[in-house]
Amino acid sequence: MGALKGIAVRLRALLRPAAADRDLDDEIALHLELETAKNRGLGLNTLEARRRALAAFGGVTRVREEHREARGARWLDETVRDVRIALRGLRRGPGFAVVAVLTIALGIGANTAIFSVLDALLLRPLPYRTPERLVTIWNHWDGNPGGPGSVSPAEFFDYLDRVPALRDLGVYARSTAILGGEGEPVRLPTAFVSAGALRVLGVSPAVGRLIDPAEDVPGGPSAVVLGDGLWRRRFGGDRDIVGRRLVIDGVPATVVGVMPPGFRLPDDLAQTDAAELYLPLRLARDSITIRGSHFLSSVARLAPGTTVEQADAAVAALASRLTQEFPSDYPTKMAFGASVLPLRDSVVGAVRPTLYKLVGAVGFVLLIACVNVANLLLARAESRRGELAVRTALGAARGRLVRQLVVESLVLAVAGGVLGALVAVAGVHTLVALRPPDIPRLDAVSVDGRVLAFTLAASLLTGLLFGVGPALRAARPGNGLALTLRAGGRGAAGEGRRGVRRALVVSEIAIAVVLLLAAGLLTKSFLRLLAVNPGFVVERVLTVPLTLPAEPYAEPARAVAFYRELTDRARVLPGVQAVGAVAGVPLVAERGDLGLEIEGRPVAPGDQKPRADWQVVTPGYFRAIGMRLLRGRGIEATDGPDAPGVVVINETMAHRYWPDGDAIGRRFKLGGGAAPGWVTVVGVVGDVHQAGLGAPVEAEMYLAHAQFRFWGSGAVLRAMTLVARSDGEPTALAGPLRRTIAAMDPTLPVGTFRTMEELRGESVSRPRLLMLLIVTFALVALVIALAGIYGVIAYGVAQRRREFGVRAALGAQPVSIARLVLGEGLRLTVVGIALGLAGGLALARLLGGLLFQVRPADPATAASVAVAVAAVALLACWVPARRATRVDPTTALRTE
Amino acid sequence: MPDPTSPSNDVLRGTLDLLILRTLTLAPLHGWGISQRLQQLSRGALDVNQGSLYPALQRLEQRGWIESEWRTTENNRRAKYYQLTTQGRRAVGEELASWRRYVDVVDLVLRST
Repeated sequence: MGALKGIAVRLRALLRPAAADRDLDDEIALHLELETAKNRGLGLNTLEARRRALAAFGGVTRVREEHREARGARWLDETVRDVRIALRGLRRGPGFAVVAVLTIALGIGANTAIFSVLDALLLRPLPYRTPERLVTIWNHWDGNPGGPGSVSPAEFFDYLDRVPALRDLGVYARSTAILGGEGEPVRLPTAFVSAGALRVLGVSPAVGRLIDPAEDVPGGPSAVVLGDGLWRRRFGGDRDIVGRRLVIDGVPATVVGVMPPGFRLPDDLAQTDAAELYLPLRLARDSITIRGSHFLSSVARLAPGTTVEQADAAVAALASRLTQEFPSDYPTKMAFGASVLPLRDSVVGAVRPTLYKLVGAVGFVLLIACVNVANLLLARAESRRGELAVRTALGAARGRLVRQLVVESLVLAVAGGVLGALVAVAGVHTLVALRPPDIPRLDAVSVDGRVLAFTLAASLLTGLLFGVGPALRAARPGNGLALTLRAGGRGAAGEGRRGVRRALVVSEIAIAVVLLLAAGLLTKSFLRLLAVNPGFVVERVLTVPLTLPAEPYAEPARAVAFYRELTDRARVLPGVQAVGAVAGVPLVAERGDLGLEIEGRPVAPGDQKPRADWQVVTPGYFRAIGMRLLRGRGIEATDGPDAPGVVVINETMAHRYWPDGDAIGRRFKLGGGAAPGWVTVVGVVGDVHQAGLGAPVEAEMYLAHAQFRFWGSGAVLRAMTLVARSDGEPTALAGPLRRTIAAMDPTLPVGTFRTMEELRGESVSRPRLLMLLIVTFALVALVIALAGIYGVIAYGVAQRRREFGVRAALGAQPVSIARLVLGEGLRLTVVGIALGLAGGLALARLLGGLLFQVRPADPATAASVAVAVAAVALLACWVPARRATRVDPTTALRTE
Repeated sequence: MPDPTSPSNDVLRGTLDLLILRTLTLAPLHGWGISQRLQQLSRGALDVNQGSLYPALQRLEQRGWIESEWRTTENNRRAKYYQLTTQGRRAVGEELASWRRYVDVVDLVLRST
């Protein structure tokens, strides 16, 4: 109670100093009056009584000052005065101030930009109701480490019914659908959701309602929920939209509601194209027998009082029971299992390690900025030794001097911070404009109050970090008046002082080397990635994804006929060398795999079946994409629905299952009841990096579009990507191809035309972004370090002007003087490089997971970094070295 | 930064605080009242500037040991009255005990030499 009142008194005194002063004046007046009255009562005259009262009281002014000090007001006054003095001092040395503020701004700006990304991605809660209670289930098995989209329909019902630790569970799958009916037909990103998914996320519709459980059953009433963007864009935000009938994939669907603005499913948080149509998933409980079709993403809410660990144990136990109940679906060698993890980890898990590395790198940039400014401050303190010595002699307490110097640093830091915030805003704009794919919640990245609070905190911390050391040093008691004044205020920079500054420069170079090493490794890794032969000819290929609506293309023969007709017409267009269609284009498409039964090779119970990734292609695809046919033939027009089933396999698959090179003519059967049943290997093609340049090549088989039948294959057959090889500029084919498609079906929406080169660029955009950021940070660090070494060497030259003059007078050649200066710079650089390489090699191991075909301890990269840093550091020392050779002996000696 | 303080200053300041608290154990007083009571209790032996009371009062109030209130005197004058808080009352007891221990120790040392 008393303590609280004490704080209140303090606060009132600080916030309303005038009122506190008035109160005191009233008290003093009364005191003097009463004392005077008492003295008069003793028989003194008024004047004498008053005089004695004043004498007994002591100095009124001093009491007022002490009172203010006790209130803490004096502290405030002095700080304001220190800030004024600091500003005046910085105006006197504008060069120093500009360099220091710019250095800090770079450091703070880079850190603020990265922090804003970190904040949006990792620190802020997901945009759902009580997101900390949301989890997701990842299934994993041999060859699949787990991830979103790894639950099969049958497993969904198992988890829903048999895991009490999960209060509610929903699943969804991303796809595309064609919105027709009124206006131009468009292909839109679409989510098929179970009714539970939206309920689990706790989303409330902006208009109408969400998908009802009665609609989420096979044959249920038609229903669609629109995304906010689509609703505003296409329907003008019409609130009477509910009940309107649209045509989706050729089938009528009734609008039941509109999602709130900004809503995205968890998987969509990482996508640039979030779903705009939400349709009921309509899984059938009893008709689902295929357990191996893993394509659903899940979202679940923990039961009250349940922890993630408990839910994880429950789900893992159920997965283990499932492998016993369905041994043919989950053979022992498949090592099927399931785990529960917080939804946030699932959404941002992939980028988290990379982000932490960026934070580390950018932290180094700030550190090097601090070291550099500390160095500048030391240099400045040396030139101000006279001033400080005189002030000490005049009675300034050491504490006051230290405080004033620290305040000066803080002023610099805050100025740097303000400028840094501007740098950060520009940086974040650039980052968002680059639109790196696969980075979740990028639209949430912005420089806001939280981020600016971080900037302020970072600035103040930085100011203290680089300010306190030099301030304590400068105001050291040994920094005596006599010593300094006797030395004439010049030339007395002790070896100790210069030693500290040299050590700082060495550490700057070391930090820069660490960052450059990381940048070098990532650059080399990226170049290696680009140099990977994708297995096809990337140049002069244009692609466009097409999705035929279910109506009237539901019958597979209709879809097959459409693509055959389209490729036939496109092939004869001028400029087209070859054309075909494929289910998923290489480098960007997701993969699916199927179990196989190879003729004459029964699989022992418990052993895992042979598996291979599958693709569906039309005749002409191999030629269009530029794949190499190694043996046999490709998929031909004669491989129709009634012809014997054929398959073309890649080299990896041929080696794995027919290592003797006799794959052609062998037969195997596709798992899961996929038609055409038995297929015969008719050809072997060269390996293609289907899953990305950095991903290993898997066994892969290419099935004929006309023959492929599978559970859900209707959608696969309808959604193909047209691939055309041009004899010139591929984008020139876009117009003719578009007209050809429109001539066949004018209601068909046409996706975006992309060249294969563009797709290759996008497939490596994440490593490219990381490389660009680290290279930028490393170059900033290098520039700061060079400024540091230049500063120290130049200062040394200025200090030793007289010495150089004497040397010149005694006949020293300019070359030997230059060598003297450069030698010192080189010594510092070499020590810095050695320390940096040692530290860098230790830290480079952290990059291991991000490097492609480059070992962290890469001698070539280390050597190039060392040589490059040494070269530019010598260049930085060259300027002061030249200045040293030009010292005119007579002027140098005369100024003494 | 406060002025450099000599040890004797510190002792005096600590003592003054204790003495002020002591004068307030009986009844709330205003500043001049405290100064009169101090002189009276010390029989005029304590010679401090009366003005130094006021910063001391401010310190004690910030520490939460005393609280103040503007009231009217018998002569109808507005005056700031200080009184002990519960915390202050406890502090007087503790300070007094520690002061007595200090005096005993000093006394002991001085006697033994």
